Amino acid sequence: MNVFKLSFKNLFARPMRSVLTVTMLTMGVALASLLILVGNALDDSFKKNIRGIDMVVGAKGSPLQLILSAIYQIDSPTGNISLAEARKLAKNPQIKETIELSFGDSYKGRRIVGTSQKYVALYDGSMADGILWEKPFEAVVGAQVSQEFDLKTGDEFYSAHGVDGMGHDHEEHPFTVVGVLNTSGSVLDKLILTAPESIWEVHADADHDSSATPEITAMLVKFRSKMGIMTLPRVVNQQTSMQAALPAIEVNRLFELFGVAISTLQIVALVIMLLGAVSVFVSMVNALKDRAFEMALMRSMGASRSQIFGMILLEALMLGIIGTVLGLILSHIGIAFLNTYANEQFGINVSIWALDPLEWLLITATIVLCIFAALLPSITTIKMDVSKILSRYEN
Amino acid sequence: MISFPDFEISKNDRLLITGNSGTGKTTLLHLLSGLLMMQKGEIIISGSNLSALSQQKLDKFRGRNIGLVFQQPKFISSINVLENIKVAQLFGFGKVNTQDATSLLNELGIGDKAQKSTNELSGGERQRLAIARALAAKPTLVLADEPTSSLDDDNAEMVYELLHQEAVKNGATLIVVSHDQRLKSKFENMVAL
Repeated sequence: MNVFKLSFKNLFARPMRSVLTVTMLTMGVALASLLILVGNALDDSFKKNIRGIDMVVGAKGSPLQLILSAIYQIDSPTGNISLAEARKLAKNPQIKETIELSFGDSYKGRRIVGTSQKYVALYDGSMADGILWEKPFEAVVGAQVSQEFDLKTGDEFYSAHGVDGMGHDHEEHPFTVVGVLNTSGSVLDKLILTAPESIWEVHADADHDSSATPEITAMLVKFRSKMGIMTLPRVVNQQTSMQAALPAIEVNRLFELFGVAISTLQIVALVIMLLGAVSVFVSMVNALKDRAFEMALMRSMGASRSQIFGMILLEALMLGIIGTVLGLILSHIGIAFLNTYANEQFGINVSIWALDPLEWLLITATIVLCIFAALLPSITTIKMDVSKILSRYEN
Repeated sequence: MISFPDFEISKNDRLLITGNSGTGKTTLLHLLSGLLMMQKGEIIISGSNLSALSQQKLDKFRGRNIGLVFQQPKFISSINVLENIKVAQLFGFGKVNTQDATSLLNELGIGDKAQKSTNELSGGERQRLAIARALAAKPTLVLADEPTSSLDDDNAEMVYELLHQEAVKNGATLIVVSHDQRLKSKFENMVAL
């Protein structure tokens, strides 16, 4: 028997009261931790995919749509641009490197992107099996696609028109899988990559004029120096029929949109946490009222004022720790469930077992909050008149 | 303002302090145990002057030297019978001795209730536990406040005998504060308030 054990037993002698307090703390912590993890994951995933891309050039339309479609492959493309015009721009001395992307077809909802091998290098992709594509109709599949549809090296498949998997099949040209990529945590995981000529040939044969000049959907651009940001987008937007969009700016704009939702949820989490703290306060005040006599008894047995004070703080601390631990477990279980969905849709994957530095801050803040909530009730025990309480209960 | 007469009691002796309601019996007991501070005068127990001790030292002194038995046997409800004894040991001399606690319960005939909740005890068992708790930290002085007043003759006799017998066995001085007439025949030393 020690003061720690006594506090523990006191808490569980009145489970309903503790359960209410712990539930509020748990919910507050879980929501806050979930916001931290999801926020970080979005941030991470969005930043990871724009790494090394300074500008995207595509057909005129919404710049956000261009970025979402060309970089993240989650929106429909804005249209096509002429390959000749794109290549002319690529010769600009301020441009260091370009990657041409042709997309618009899919296999069972997974996008087929016609591009150069530089696209794989951009995201540090590596081969799990086979080799990169060399000729048209050779395809390399992302880790997730390979897993999902059990596509292995040597398999054949037909593409379908459109990026949503609802279009008609292009049955004349089967694709052959020549390689499978390792998981990279980037957009590569959910794509099927091939040579751009595959896309052109499918469409030239199917329903387009075979004499048409080759088109691409978008071009990723890396500048020689950051100075390019100042001039090139304006040049493209004003002097060509193409559109230039800066991923950093569009992603920030997107985050501002998310931001409103995230701040609202943050306020909700904060309010729940504060309610939890109020609940700790009320719980401690009630405990003192119910247990004033027991505390006076302990004083009569020789317990010092600081021991009683410490015991009450310890109870609050335990509530705080239990609430925090349960909250973190809950949010990490939530993340485990969200992972499946988020990974499929956005290629987002959050580690379930690791604690984010912000979560450590959350743990500290919650526990400090609980201690503060219990401070006032604890202080009243110091001033308690033991003799008066004992004689009052005697009669 | 209540004044009390001077009195002395030697080690291992027994003293009954009598008086009607309102004469300050409980107040005197709380003064003797250092739960209350007096305005004038002094209380010296085993050479320590209580009025000269700081609050912290007083708490420690009380824990080490004084065992209190109240009229209503009340306990800490969240812990069991044995743990109530252990808590008294803990606050009394800072460490717990399970063997001592168990043998104390056995001595008072409630050894078989050690793991029970204090709420499950009968009235007589609660009285026994209250006495056991007062003795848990091996005090030199046992102070009992109306320990028999609300009991029938048989139980009053039992409680007195236990207090007497345990105080002797543990080498403790016993002071009983009571208006219970039945106790008068039991004590040689008496102070009337």
